Amino acid sequence: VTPGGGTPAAGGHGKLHCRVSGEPVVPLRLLGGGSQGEVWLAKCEGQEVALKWYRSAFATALQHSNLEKLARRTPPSPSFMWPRDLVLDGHSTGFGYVMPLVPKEFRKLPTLLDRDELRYRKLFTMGLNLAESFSHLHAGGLYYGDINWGAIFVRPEDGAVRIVDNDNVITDGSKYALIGGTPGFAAPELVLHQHLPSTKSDLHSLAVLLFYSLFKHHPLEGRRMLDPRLAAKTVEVCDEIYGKDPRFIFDPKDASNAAMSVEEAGTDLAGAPALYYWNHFYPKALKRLFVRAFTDGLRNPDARVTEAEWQSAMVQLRDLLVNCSVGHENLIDPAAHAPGAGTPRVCYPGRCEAKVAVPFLLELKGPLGTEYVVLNRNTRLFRYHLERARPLDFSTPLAEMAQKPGTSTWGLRNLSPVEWHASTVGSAPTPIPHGRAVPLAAGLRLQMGDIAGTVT
Amino acid sequence: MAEESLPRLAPPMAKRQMEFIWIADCSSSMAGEKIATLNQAIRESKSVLQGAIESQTGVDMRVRAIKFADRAEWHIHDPTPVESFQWPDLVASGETMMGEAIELVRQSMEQLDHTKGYRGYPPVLVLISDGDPSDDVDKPLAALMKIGWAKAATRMAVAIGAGANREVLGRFASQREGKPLVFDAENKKELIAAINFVSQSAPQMSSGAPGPVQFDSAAPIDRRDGGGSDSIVTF
Repeated sequence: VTPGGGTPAAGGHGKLHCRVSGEPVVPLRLLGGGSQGEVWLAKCEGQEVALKWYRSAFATALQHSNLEKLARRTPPSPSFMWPRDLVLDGHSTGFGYVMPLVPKEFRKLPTLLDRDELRYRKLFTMGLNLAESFSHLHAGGLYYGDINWGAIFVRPEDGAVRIVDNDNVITDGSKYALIGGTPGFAAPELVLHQHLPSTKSDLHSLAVLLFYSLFKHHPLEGRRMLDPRLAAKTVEVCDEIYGKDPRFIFDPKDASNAAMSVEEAGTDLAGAPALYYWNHFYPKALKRLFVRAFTDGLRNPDARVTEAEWQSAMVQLRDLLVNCSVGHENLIDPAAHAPGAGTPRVCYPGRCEAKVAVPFLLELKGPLGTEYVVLNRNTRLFRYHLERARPLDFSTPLAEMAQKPGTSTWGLRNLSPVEWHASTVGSAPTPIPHGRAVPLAAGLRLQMGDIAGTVT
Repeated sequence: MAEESLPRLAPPMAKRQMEFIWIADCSSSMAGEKIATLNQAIRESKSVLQGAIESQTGVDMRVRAIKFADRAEWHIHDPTPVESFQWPDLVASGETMMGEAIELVRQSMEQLDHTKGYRGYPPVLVLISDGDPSDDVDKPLAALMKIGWAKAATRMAVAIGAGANREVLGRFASQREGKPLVFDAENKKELIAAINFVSQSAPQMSSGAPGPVQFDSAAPIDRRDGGGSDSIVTF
C-alpha cells in the first residue's frame, strides 16, 4: 500500500484513455477512496463520469480480466453503477475503469440512517429496490461478494437506490474472490474462510443491510457486547461475533445475546434501538423472516431469506402504513387486526400521542400467500396486488380509493379492464365494472379478476 | 381493549468511539515548507475524515494531537468531534523528543484501559517525523505495546524525507501483510497524499470496513365513512 502511488494525480504521468473506445479520460477532482483505490470525477467523451483508479497492490491481472468481462455485460439494472470500460495510462501497468456518476440527489445510506432521514414509506421502498436490484444481479449468474452500506446510495425523496463498487462482482461458482467482505456484513462462512462468496453469502449481507436499516442496529450485537473481552472491536472480536459464534439478538431459543435496553445495559451498544422497533413497531410476519435469516440462515446458507421474500415483505410493510391524526406514519399488524380492536391506539413510534384511526384493511389471498393492504385515501392497487404471480409492477394503478361526491363515503374504484364482483354475507354478487367504485364495509368480499379480497 | 402505554422514542443508532491521534514532529528540521505543508494537510484532512466516517454509521470519531520538539505535549488535548476539529498551526523548533511523545500516547491508551465500561473501535495513532529521535524510544515503545488499546490500535507512520528514522517508525507502526504501515513522503505533494491516505484508510482499518411529515394523502379513512353493509350501491 502506497499513499497516492499510481493515482492519476500523484503517480501517472501518461494520458489516460479508455481501453476499447480509445477515448481520452481526464481526471478532474478526487471524490473519495478506500483501500483498493481512489475514485475521481473525470471527463470522457464530453460526459462527466466516475473513474476508479487502483492502488498498485490491487491492480492485479485478475481484477483486469474481471473488469473486461463486466464491461462487456449489460448492467443488471439501472441501479448498478456498472463498469463501462477499462482505463489505461499508456505507459504503466496501472489501470482503472469508468462508470456512471451517482447523481447528486443520491446520498450515502449510512448518513441517511444516522440522521433518521428515511421514514418509513421511503425506507421500505429502498428495501424493495435493494432486494430487486440484487435479484437482477443474481439472476444473471453474478454475485456482488461484499454487500455493505458503504456501497449504497439512496435518493431520500423516493427511496431509489444506486449501487457502486461493482468491480468486484464475479460469476457465481467462481474459484476465486476479489475481496473478502466487510466485517458485520460478510456471511459467517466467509468470515471463517470456509467458503468463497456466492449468491448465498450475498443473501446474508442483504439481510444484515435490511435489518440494520429497519431496526437501526446490528442483528448480532446484543447482551454479549457487555463482555469486557469484546470492549475493543478488533478483527478478532469481529471474527468471533460475526463468524465463529454468531447469535441473533432476537433468537427465540437463545437469550444469551438478547437485545437490551439502555436502562438495563447502561449502553446503547447492546441493541437498545432494535429492541424498541422489535417490541413496538414491526409486524410479526416481518420478524419471523428475520428470525429465520439470523438463526437457521446463519449456519445453513440454503435456509436464507431470498430476494423475492424480501421484496414481498417490503411491499407488505409499505401497504400496512397508516398515518396518525397528526400525520406520522404508523404500521398496522394484520396479525393483531380485528375490526375495532388490536390496531395501534396511539401514534408509534412514540412521536406524538395522537390517535390512529382503525382503518379498513383489504386481505388479498393469492397462491403466494396473503397480502394485506390498508385502505387509506391515497391507496392504489397494482399488478402486484391483483395478479397471481405478483409482478413487481407499480406503474399503472388497477384500483384506487375514491370518495362519493357530496358525501363522506369512501370506496374502492375498479380501474382494471376486468369486471369485479362484490358481495356481502348473504347477498348476490354485484358487478363492479371498470370506472365504478364499491363502498367499503367490513365483511365486503371482492372478486378482482384472479384474486379474491375481503375487507375487514 | 386497554390502551397500551405510550412507548418511548426509539433510541438513535448506537455509536462507538474511535480516538484518532496525530503525533507530529515539529523539531527545527521540520522548519520551512515541511511544517507549512503538514499544517495545511492536517487542516484539510478534516473533510477526508468526515468522508471516511460517513461511509459507515456507528463511528463517533474523536481527534486529538500530540506535538514533540524539545519536549512532547498535547497540541489538541480534548478528544474533539471531527465536525468541530480545528488545527492550530505547528511551529518548528528544537529537538526530536519522540520517546516523550510515545510516553504521552501510552498514558492516553492506559486511560482508555482504565475507563470503566469504555467500548470503542481500535484507536488510530499516526506518527509523523522527519528525523532521528533525540531521546530514548526503546523503553517507551516497549511500555506502549503492553497496553491493550495500544496493541489493538491501527498505528501508522509517515516518514518525511531521507532523514526520517524508518527503523523506529517501523517498530511503532502496525503490520499489514508482514509490512509496517510506514509511508514515505519525499516532497510536498507526497506529504499531502500521505496525510490524505492515512486519514482515509486508518479509520476504515480500525472500524473493520473496507422527513417531512405527509399529512393529507395517506390519511386513513374513518370506518364510519364506509358504505354500510346492507346493500352495495356503486358510484
